[in-house]
Amino acid sequence: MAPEMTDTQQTRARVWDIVRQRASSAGAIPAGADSMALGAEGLGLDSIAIAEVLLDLEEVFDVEVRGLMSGEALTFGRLTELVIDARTR
Amino acid sequence: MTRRTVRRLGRRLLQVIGGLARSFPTAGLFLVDAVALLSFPAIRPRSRHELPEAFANLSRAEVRAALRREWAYKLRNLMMYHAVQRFGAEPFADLTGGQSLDHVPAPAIMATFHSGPTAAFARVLQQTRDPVLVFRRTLRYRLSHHPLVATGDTDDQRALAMHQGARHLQRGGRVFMMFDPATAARIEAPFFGRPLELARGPFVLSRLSRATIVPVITRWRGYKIEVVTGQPIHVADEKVMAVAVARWLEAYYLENPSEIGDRTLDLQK
Repeated sequence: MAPEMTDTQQTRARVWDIVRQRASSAGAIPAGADSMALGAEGLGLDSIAIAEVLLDLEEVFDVEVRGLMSGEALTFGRLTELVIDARTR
Repeated sequence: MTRRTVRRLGRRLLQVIGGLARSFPTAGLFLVDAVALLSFPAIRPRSRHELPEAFANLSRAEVRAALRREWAYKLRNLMMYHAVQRFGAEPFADLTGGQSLDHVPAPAIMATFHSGPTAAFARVLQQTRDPVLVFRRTLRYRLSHHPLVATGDTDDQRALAMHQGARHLQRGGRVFMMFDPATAARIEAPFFGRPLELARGPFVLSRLSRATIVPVITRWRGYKIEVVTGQPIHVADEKVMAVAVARWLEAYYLENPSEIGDRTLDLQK
């Protein structure tokens, strides 16, 4: 029997699903996904697709994604952290 | 004297006149017009063949008059731009009738082109009572009561700006941005028979927030500046909205041939 996923793991998997919908090339969560950039150097999303991911996350998790700093690299790991933070606020 | 030296001297001259125009706006504009008049024979104006075919019905004299006015307006706009860049001063020319953007119902995406005295939107926004989220690349100077969002140079930065813009619109706000920024994801629309590359941003924001798009442009009226507001474009497919915006701009230039700017023609493929 597969071990049950923790809340954090479930959130992480749902965030990945949302990102994957916008990045057609992404499959299952790869090793090292946390440091993977959402943009051209990582998952290949353009600015509009990244903005849509942020809005999708807010809708799905019913949260407001805050705390992203201009100039900060937007990675899958950082995105997951922000959603988890927002859910516990 | 090399072309580069002439350009540098020209820029310097416009800065000096811009400094004067901060205190004496009409005198500054009068001087720029004099510079335009004297320098027009020396420049190589765009030939009628470089203008869109839609202007083919204009006579040679009408084309020359339009190009002469275009040159004068270009120098005025450059003077305003350099004065703002150098002195950080608010644009100095007065608006006809003290116009603002308060008449545009929210939620709305008010967007403009690099056509006419774009820098004057700082004055227009200062007169606009209700807060407008301004995409910062659009205007580089302080606006006392409007929130600014930095658009930046990377996809991440632009995404954050778009996200903030979409949220602001979803809450019933209004945003101000450009249809033709230097860097952006693009969408094409026919413009005088050729594709015009517009930024996708305004159309995506409309799709995400259901807000209407309202094209706005500033133009010279004598020594004053007037704001022209287009009909609202309601949410539809991005391409349909882009075509509607390009059509509006085309009609505007057909009515005002001397307003057509190099920047807009450069965005034609």
